[in-house]
Amino acid sequence: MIDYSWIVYLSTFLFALGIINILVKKDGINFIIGIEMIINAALINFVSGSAYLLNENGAVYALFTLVVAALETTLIVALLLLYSSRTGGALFSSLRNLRG
Amino acid sequence: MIALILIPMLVSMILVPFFKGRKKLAFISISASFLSFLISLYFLLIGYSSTQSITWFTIGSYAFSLSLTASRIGMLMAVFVSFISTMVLIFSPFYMKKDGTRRYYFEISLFIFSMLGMVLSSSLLLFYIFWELISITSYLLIGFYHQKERSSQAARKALMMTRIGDFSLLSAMILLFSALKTFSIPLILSSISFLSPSFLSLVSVLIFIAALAKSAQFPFYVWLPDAMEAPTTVTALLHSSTMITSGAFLMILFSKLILSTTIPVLVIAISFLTIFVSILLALKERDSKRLMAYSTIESMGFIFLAVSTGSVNGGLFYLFSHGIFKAASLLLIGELIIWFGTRDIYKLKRIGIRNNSTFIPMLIAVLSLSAIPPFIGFFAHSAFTYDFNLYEQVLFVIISFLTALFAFRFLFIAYRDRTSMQIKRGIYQKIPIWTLVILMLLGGFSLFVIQKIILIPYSFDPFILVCAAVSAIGAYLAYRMFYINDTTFEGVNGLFGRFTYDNMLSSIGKSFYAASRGVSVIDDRFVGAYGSIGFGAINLSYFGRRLQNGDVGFYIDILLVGFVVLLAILAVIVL
Amino acid sequence: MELGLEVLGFLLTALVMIIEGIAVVMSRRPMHSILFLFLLLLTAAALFIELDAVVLALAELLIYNGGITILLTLAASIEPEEIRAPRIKPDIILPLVAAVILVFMISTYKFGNVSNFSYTSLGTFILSGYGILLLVVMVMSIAAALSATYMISKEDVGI
Repeated sequence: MIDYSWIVYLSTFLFALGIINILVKKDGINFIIGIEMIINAALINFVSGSAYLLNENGAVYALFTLVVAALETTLIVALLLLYSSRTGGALFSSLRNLRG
Repeated sequence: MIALILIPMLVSMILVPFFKGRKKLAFISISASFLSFLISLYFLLIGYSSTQSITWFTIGSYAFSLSLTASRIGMLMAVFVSFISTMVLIFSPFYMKKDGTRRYYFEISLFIFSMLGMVLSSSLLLFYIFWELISITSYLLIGFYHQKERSSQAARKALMMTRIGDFSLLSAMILLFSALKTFSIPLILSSISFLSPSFLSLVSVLIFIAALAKSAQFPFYVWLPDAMEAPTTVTALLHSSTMITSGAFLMILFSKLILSTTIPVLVIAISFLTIFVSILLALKERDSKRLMAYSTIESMGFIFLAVSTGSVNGGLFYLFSHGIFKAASLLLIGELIIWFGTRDIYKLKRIGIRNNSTFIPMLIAVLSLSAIPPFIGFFAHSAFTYDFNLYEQVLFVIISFLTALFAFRFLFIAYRDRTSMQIKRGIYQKIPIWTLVILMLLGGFSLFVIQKIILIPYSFDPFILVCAAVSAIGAYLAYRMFYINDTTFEGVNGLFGRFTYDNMLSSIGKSFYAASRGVSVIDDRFVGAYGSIGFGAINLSYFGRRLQNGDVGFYIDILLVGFVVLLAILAVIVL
Repeated sequence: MELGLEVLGFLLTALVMIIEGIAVVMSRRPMHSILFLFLLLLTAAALFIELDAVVLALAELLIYNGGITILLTLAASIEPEEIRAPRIKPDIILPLVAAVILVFMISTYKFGNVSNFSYTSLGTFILSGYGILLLVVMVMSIAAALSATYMISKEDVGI
C-alpha cells in the first residue's frame, strides 16, 4: 500500500495546475477545463480519504460532488454559448461589466 | 420710567439716517439730547428713585437680568452727560460743515446713548454691554476721517488699548458672578463683607486695570494723544463726559469695593506717576489738542487719587468741573482750527490770534484748570483733596505749580499776539461757549447747593490756599518764561522730554505678529495634514478603482494572494 | 517505503496525470486541451480503481468522460476558434507557492494506520444516510437542465 501523503501531493499539484490553466488562458472553455481539474483534485482527496480513513462518507461526498459538478458545467456551457453568441467571442477578459 | 432718559438719543440715532441736510440733522440730535437733559434734570429735582428690571434669559437657576436704576450718582452723571452733550451738539453744526454729517450724527447719538445707559445701569451685565458700546463707538468716532492713515491707526490703537481693560472688566464680572450669583451692582456692593480679602483684591485689581485702560492712565495713556485725530467736537465729548470719564465712573461706582482692600496704595502710586508723566509731556507739547489730552490724563489721575484716598464724592464733583472746563477749552480750540487752520501753538503765535472774544473764554478755562479762585476748579480741588495726608499734600503742591505752568504756557504762547482779523461768532458757537463760561465762573458755588443731593465734604483750609498761591506763582513763571521770554529759564525748559513709549509698544506688537506667524505655520501644517489625509483618501480611491477593473484573471490573482497568505498563516500556526 | 508493484503503479499513474495536466496547460487550441483533459480523467479513474473505489471510477467515466467532455467539445466547436499561445505570466507563481506550502504542511502531518476499505455496501449507505441529499441533487439536476435549455432557447435572457 502506498503512503497516503503521496496521493495528497498529487491532488495538490493537480489543483495548482488547474489554477494555472485558468490564469494562463483567458477564454471560457479553458476556464471550465481548469475548474474540472480542480474538482478532480478534490475528488481524489475525497476518495483517498475515504479509503485510508475507513469512512464511507468520503465516497458519498465524491459521488455528490461529481453530480453537482456535471450540473454546474452544463449551466456554465449554456451561459458561455449565450455570451459568445452575443459578443462574438468567449474571452472572459473582455467581460468588463464588473469594472468599478 | 427711567428709560425715558435713554429713549431720545435712541430715537435720534434711528431718525438720523432718514433725513438730509445739516440743519435738520443737528436739530434732531440737539433736541433729543436736550430732551434727555430736561428729563434727567426733572427726575433729579423730584428725587425720583426706582429700578426697572427685565430678565434677559435664565440658565438653570441663574437669572441674567438687565436693570436700570435712578441712583443719586447715576442721576447726577446723567444730567451732566446730557448737558455736555447738548453743548457739544449745538457747537457741531459750526465745526462739521463738510463731509459725512449723517454718519457723524448717527455715531455721536449712539455714543451719548451708550454713556447715558452706562451711568444708569445697575446690572453689571448691562453696564458691560454699554461699556463695550462706548468702546466701539469711540473707535468709530476717532477713526471718523478714516481716509487719513493716522486717523485710522489712532482708532485702532485706542480700540486695542481699551480692549485690555474690557477683558479685565469681563474677568472681574465673571469672578463676581461666580462668587455671588448676581449681577446687581447694589447687591454686590452690599455683600462684599462675605467675600475673602484675597478675592476682593483680585477683583479690585481687575476693575482698576479696566478703569486705567479706559481713562488712559499710566501704562495705557498712549492712545489718548493719538485719538486727537478725531473731529474736535468728538474730542470734547470724549474727554469731558463720555469715553474717558467712564473709567473714572467705574472707579467711583466700585469705590466701596476698592476701598475695602489694600489696593488704594497702588492706585495712589500709579495716579501720581501718571500725573507727573503727563505734566512733563504737556510741558513740551506743541500741538494744542495733544496738550489738552495730557491735561485730561492728569485730571483723571486726580479723580483716581480722590477715589483712592476716600473722598469719592469730591472726585465726582471734580469730574463735573473737569468736564465743563475741558469741554469749553476744546470747543475753543475747535474754533481756532476752523478760523486759523492749525493746531500748532507756535504757528498760532506767528499768526496772532488774540482779541477779547477769543482770549477771555480761554483765560477762564485755563484759570479753572489751574484751580485759581473763584473759578470752578478751585472748588473742585478743595472737594477732592479733603482726605489727603501730608505726603500727598506736599506732592500735590508741586503738581499744582506744574499744572499752572503748562496751562499758562499754552495760553501765553498761543495767544501772545493780537489779531487783525475781525472775528464774529455765530449763534451755534455763542450758546455753548458762553453757557460753559458762565458755568466756569459761577458753577463752583454749586458745591454748596449740591450737598442736598449727595454729601460732598470740603474745606478751604490753608493747604488749598497754598495750592492756589503756588498755582499763581506757576502762572507768573509761565508769564516770565513764555511771554517775556526770560532767558534765565532756558535750562529748565530743556528738562521736559518725551515719555511716550510708542516704539516699545510697536515692537511688542511686531513680536506678537512674528509669534502669530509662527503659530500660523504650525496651523498651516495641521491644515495641510488634514488636506493630505483627504487627498490620500482620493488617491486611495483611484487605486481601489484600478483594483476593480473587471478582469476576472486579476480577481483570481487577488483571490490567490489571499489564499496563499492564509495558507502561510495556517502553516506558521500549525507547525 | 517498500518499492512494490502497487507503489510503482501509483507513481506511474501520478506521473502520467501530472504530465497530462501540464499538457492541458501548455496546449494552444481548446480542443487539444479538452483531449488532454479526457486522458487526465481516464487516469483519474484508473487511480480510483487503484484505491478500490470501482463504483466511483465508473461514475467518473460516465459523468466526466461521457458527459462533460462531450459537452465541452460541443461548446468548443460552436464558439469561434481562437488560437492563442498561453501567456506565461508571473502570477502562475502563486498557485505553485500555494502547492509548495501545502506539500510542506502535508509532509509534517502524521497519518494514522493505513488499511484497505471495501465499497460493497455503498448503495445501502447512500440510501440510508443521504436520502434527502439525493432528492436535493435530483431537483437541482432538473432545475439545471431546464434553465440551461431556457437560456439557450431564449436569446434575451441573462448577461
